[in-house]
Amino acid sequence: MWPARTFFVCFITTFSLAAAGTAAAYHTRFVADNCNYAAPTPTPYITRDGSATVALRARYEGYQWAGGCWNDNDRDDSPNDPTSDPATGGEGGDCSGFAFKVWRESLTESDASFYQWGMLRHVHGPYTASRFKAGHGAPNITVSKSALTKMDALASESHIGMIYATNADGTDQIIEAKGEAYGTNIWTRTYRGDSSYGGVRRTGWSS
Amino acid sequence: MAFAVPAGAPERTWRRRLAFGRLLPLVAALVIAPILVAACANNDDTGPSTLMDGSPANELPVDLEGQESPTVQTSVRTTNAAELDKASAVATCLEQDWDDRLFGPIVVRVGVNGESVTFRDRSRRGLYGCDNSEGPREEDRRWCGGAFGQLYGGHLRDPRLDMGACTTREGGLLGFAWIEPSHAAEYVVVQQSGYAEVYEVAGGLPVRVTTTNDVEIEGSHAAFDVSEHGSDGRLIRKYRLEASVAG
Repeated sequence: MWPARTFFVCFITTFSLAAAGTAAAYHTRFVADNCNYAAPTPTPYITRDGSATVALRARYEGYQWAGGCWNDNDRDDSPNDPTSDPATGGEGGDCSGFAFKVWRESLTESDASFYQWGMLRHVHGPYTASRFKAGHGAPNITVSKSALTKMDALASESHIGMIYATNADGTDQIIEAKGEAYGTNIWTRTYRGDSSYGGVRRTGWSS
Repeated sequence: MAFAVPAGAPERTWRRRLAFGRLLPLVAALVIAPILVAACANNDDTGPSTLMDGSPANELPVDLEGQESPTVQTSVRTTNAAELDKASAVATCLEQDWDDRLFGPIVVRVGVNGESVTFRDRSRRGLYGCDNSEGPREEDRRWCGGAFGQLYGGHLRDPRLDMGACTTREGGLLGFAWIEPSHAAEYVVVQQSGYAEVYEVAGGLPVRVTTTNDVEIEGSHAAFDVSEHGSDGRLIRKYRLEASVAG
C-alpha cells in the first residue's frame, strides 16, 4: 500500500513540476499562439492622427527584440523575456519594428506607399534604428530636429521613438517600444536635445 | 526540315527514315547536354575567381578541414583614420558623422557579392559598419546599407543583420552580419550557393560576412552556415547563425 501511495505522490509531484515548467515557458509562445502572417492592406493615404491611433493600440503592451506582434489588452503577455533574443517569441515590437508598423511601411525599401499591418501580424521590417536615423528606405528622410512634428521620430544608432506630443518646456512625449523591462508606452524624453539623436520623418502624410 | 519521299520507295522504310531524321537533333541533344552540364559543373567547382571589385580572389594558403565546397578567399585590409584617403569610399562611410568617434582599426572587406567596413567608436561600446553590393541603391548613396551594434563587455548581443537594401547585380537578396569568431579562429567560412567564402579574422573586430542563401525579406531574417578554422585550417566549430533585423 505504502509503495503505491509513494509512487502516486511522486507521480503527482513530477507531473506538477513539469506542468509548472511548461507554464513558466508559456510566455515564449505568444507569437506562435497569437500572431499571423496575413498580407498587409494597402491604403491610399495616412494621417498623423491615424498613425497615433495605431501606435496607441500598442501602449502598455510588451517589448520583443526583433518583434512586431501585439494585442490590445493593455498588459505585457510575455513579461521578462530574455533581452536581445529574437527567438523568445514574446509580445510586442522592438523600437524599429514598432516604428515600421506605425508608419505603415513596406517590406520593400524602394516602396514608399502605405500598408496597414494588423496588430497581430508578426512583422519587424527591414530597418534598424540606425538605418532609420540615416534616412534609409524610400519612405524615410532625415529632417532637422527643430522641424519635427507629431509622429515624426527621433532616432539614435540604437533607438527610435516617435513624437506623440511636444511639451512646453521643449521636451517631448515619445511613444516608443523601450525595452523588455519597460514595454511600449509614452514617456517624456529629452531626445531632441541629445546630440546622439537625429530627426527622421516618414514621408507622404496627408495631414 | 522537309523530307521528300522518292516515287516508288516503300512507304514504311521512308517513314522510319523520316522519324529517325526528326529524332536526330533530340538524340544529339541528349548526348551533348550531359557533356555540357559536366563541363559547367567542373567550371563551378572552382567557385568565382573574382571579387566584387573585379580583383582576383587570392588562393587560400591552407586546406580547411571539413570544407568540401570550392573556396573563395575574400580580401581584407586593415587601416586607420590617419592613413585614410579622405576621398576614398571608406572615408564616405566614416563621414556619416562618425569620424569624430572612431577608435582603433578600420577593417575593409571585399567579397564576391558584398563589401563592408567595420570600426569601433571612441567609447568602445559601439561597433559601426557600412555595407555595399553591386545592386542598385537609393539615391546616390555610396553604401547601400549599414549597421550599428552596442557592445556589452566587448561583445555584441546579436549579429546586427542588415538586409533589404543591398542586392546582387541580378537583384538577389543579400544579408550582412557580424560574426564574433572564437579566440583561436583565423578563418571564418560562410557557405554560399556552390562555393564557400573565406574571411580572414582581422583587427580584433567582429567579422562582417555576407550571404545570398536563406535571406528572407518577409521575416526580416537570414541564416548563415558558418565554420571557423585555425591558422592551420583545423576546424574549430561549425554552426548555423540565425539572424534577425532588430533594434
